[in-house]
Amino acid sequence: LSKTHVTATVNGDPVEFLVSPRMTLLDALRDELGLTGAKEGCGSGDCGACSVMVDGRLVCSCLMLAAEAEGRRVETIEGMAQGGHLHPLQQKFLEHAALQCGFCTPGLLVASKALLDAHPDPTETEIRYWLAGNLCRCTGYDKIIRAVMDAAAELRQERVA
Amino acid sequence: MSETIEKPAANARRRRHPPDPPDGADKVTGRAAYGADFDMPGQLVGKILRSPHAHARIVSIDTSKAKALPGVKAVVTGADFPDLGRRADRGGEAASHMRDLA
Repeated sequence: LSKTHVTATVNGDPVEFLVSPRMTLLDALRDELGLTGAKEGCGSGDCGACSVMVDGRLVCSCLMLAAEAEGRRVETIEGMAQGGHLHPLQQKFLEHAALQCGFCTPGLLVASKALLDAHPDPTETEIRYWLAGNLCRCTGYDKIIRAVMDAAAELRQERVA
Repeated sequence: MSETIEKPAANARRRRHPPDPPDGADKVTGRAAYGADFDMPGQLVGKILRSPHAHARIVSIDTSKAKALPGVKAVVTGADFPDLGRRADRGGEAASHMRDLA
């Protein structure tokens, strides 16, 4: 099988890699670029553990072909902490004990950031609906929702300040 | 006696926020390594073939084509494990189905 040469931007850095036609973006990130933060939970778009941003849009990277990333801007969990400082969402997930095994956490954080970037002041119901595509078997979700609401409040404060 | 005033405040904060787990920062940054995240030199990759039918009886598994594929090191089925019987002494469904799980 011939491989395709892909040029893209991942977390602000230009990257190049070779992909087989059937390789998913998730496998390219994990196996070609060594970014193992995005997880394969189901491989069928049900669990959201592989969530990444592509050109500002939240996608399940297990459902997107790596070749489709040509020329696009990909953001993963590895790019969320800036300059050695955790993003407020990451900090609030820790404070609210919104993770246990942590397998769903990268996907939930990427999805939550996508929500707050577009909607700084979501209601609890809006957060629950937005995160309905991210499954967590440990926390029971309540702590995650509280962490996102708390982080949203802090981010709004930062904008005012 | 400022110390006696500060201590309860510190304790109160600790009750609100339990200390972060030692691997917490790794987990929220994606650095934490799970089983599937390891990549060792010469590492073999395993694939599982599951039955399309729930609670079906496995009559036979033909592994000849899988074994003939280039690069395949081993094909393992339940027949490769000792028969532990259908024990129910530990209770629960899994214990009585150990043979099928193998």
